[in-house]
Amino acid sequence: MSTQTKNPLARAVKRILDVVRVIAFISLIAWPLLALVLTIGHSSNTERWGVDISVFSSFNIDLDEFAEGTERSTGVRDPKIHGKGFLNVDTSSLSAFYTFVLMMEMGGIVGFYMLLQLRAVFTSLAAGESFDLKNSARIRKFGYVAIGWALISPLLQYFGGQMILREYSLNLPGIVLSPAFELNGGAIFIGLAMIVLSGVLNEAASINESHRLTI
Amino acid sequence: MATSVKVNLDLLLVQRKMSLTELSEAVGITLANLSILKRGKAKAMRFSTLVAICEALECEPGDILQLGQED
Repeated sequence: MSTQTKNPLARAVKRILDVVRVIAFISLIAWPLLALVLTIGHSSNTERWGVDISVFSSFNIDLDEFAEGTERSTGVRDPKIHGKGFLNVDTSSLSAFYTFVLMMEMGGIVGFYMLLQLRAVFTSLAAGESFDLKNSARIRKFGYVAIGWALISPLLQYFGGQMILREYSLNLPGIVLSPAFELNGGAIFIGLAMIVLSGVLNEAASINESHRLTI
Repeated sequence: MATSVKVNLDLLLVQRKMSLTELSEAVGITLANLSILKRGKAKAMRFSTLVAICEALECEPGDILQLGQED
């Protein structure tokens, strides 16, 4: 049986990952360059300069205070709403922009590393080498990085958000923006599942190796 | 140093004036697998393989396998 007919799905995924890898690599290089170009633009036109960035933040809005002088809010017992999420801001602050670029670049590097590991796994699957000890190591690395990033990313978002929000003084009565912290439980679970899976795959690869070397 | 089983295929082939390819054809095992066996890279050996090689080389299992020290 040829390799092509062995694992058509793995080959298709590998091709998609090949394209994504190229796009991700170009993006990783392009981001700092774009930041540099925009910085040059800032020095030449400080007044009108602005860039869209997003910041993970929590918000509290006191409806009564916010809409003072107008009709009171109805249908709510406590006239306060709050939540957290990504806020898109057209910033004119260079340091807020730098913080955003740095956070994006760090996330991009981690994501790119995970993408490379995943691509290597699918490359070996497409070649018909499912139970390979190297695949087990790759999946384990993927798991550790997923857990590590799931723990570091919220801290980065929190402190990065703090640095970005420090740049703004919105002067809106009743609205308070503050940096938000949220652990990604799903990513931690996926990371742990990957580590367990790598252990199982390691065992399978060892059995496969023994079988292959039994003459 | 650990004790391991060594495969004396080289010596037996020279004594029988037989090539690895000829042995491969005689026992029905691929050249690649016989090469793994000859280089001592195999982890285990089936009784059927041992019997086939013994028949082809007209020898006893003890002539093929030997206990030795591994570096």
